[in-house]
Amino acid sequence: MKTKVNPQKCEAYGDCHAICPEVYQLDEWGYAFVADENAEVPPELEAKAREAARACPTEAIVILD
Amino acid sequence: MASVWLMGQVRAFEDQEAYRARGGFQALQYALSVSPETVVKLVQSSGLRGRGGAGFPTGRKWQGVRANPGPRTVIVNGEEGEPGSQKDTWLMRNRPHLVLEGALIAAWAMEADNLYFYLSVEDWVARQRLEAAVRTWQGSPEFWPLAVELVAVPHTYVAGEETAAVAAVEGELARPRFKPPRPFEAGVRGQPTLVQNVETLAHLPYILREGPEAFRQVGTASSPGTLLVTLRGAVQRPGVYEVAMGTPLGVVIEKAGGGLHPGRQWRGVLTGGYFGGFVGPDPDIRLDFEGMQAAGGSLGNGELTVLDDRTCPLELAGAVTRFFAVESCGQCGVCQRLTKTLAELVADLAVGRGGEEVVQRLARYGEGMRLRGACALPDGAVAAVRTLLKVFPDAVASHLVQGRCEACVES
Repeated sequence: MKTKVNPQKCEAYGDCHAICPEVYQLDEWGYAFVADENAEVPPELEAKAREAARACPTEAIVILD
Repeated sequence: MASVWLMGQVRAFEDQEAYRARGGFQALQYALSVSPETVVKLVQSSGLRGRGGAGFPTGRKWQGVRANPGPRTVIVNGEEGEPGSQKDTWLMRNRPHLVLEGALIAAWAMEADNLYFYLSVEDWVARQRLEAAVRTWQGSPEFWPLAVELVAVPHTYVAGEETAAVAAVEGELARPRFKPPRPFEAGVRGQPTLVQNVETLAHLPYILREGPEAFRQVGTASSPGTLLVTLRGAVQRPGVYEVAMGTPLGVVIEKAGGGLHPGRQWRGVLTGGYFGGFVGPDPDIRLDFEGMQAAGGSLGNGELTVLDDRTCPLELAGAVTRFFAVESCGQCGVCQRLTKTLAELVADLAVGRGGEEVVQRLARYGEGMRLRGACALPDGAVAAVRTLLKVFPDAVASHLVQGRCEACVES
C-alpha cells in the first residue's frame, strides 16, 4: 500500500498527522505531506493510515492499494 | 555544426508547396503504408525524447498510451509556459505543415480518433496558419477521417502542463489536475491521451523519412537529435536556434548567440526558462538532458538566459520567484504559501533586510521543499533559490550586507 496527499484538497486541518504522524507530516503552514510517496507504507501502519484518510475533512488523502 | 532539420533554410513562413518540395508529407505517406506498431518501433529506436521540458522518451510514452484500449486522443501542446520561450511558436508560425505532419504521424501511431492543437489564444498567427494547414491536409491524398480541432486558452504558466491541457480540451479552466491518473491512462473524457510538445512532434517527419539511424547521428547517445534553443539575456544575438544535442554551452553562446557584448564578463546562465535554476559560467557544459543536470541546472524547454557582469543575480532571482508567486494557480495551498514566501525572502535579501536568517531560510527551502504541488511549479521557484545560493555566493553575501552588488553599481 502507498499513500499520498492531494495538495489541491489539503486545507491544513492536521487530523491525519494527529492520527498517524509516522506517515503524514505537516509543513510550517500545516499542510500535510508524505515524505516518500513512492515508498510502501509499513504493514503495521496501514490501518492507521486508512483511519487518517477516513478522518480527513477534505478527503485529501489518497490510498493506493 | 551538424546538419539541422527543424529550421534548416527556413527563415520565414513556409507554405505547403514549399514544404512538399522539401520532402514534406513523405513521412506521413510512409506511416500510412505501415502499421501503427511499426511507427511506434521506429520512434522508439530513434531515442527521441520530449522537448517540452521533462525529456521523457517519446517511444515509451507512446507505448504507455497504446497499452490502454481506445478510443484515444492526441493533444499537440503548443502552450509554452516559460516566459520568453519562442521555439514552439516559431515552429507553428513558420512551419505549420511540419508540425501538422508530425501531429498526424502521432495520431496515426496512437490510432486516435481526435487530434487537438492546443495553444495560447494570444498566438493568433500560429492559430491561423495551423488552421489553414489542417484545411489543406483535409483536401489532400493523405487525409483520413480524423477529427481535428483547435483549442486556444488565455496564456498562463500552468496552462502548458499536461493535465491542464486535458482540462482545457474538456472545456474547463487550464489548470493542472492531481495525478494519478496521468493522461496516458485517462485523459480527455477518460480516454488514453497523448499530450506531446510541438517541437517533439516536429522531429517525427525526419525520423520516419530518413530513419532512426540518421536521427541518431546527430546529438548524443542518450539525447539524440537536435534541439531548439531560445537564447536570451546578455548575448549579442538573442533568438531561436537549432543546435545538436550535447553542443557545449560556450559554443552555443559564441556561435549562435554571437557571444557577449564587448568587454563583458560571463557569469552564468538561468536554465530551462525560469524553471531550471542557475549554472555557473562553464563553457564545457553539454547542452543535453544529462549534461545540464550534471551541471546543477535543467535543460527543460531549451531556453537559456545568459548573465554577464552587469546582470544582478538577485534581481533575476527576484523576477523568477515573483513570477512563480503570481503564476501559482491557487489550487494548492502549499504552492501559494511557498512561492509567496520565497519571493518575499529573495526581495528581503536583495535589499539587505533580515540578516543571515533570510539566507538560512532560503537554504532550507531550497533543499527541503520539492515535489509538493499537483504540478511542478513550486519546484521552479525552489530551484532558482537553491542555485542562487550555490552559484552566486559573492553576490548573495554582498546583498546581505550592503543591499547591492557590483552588478547593481555598474549598471
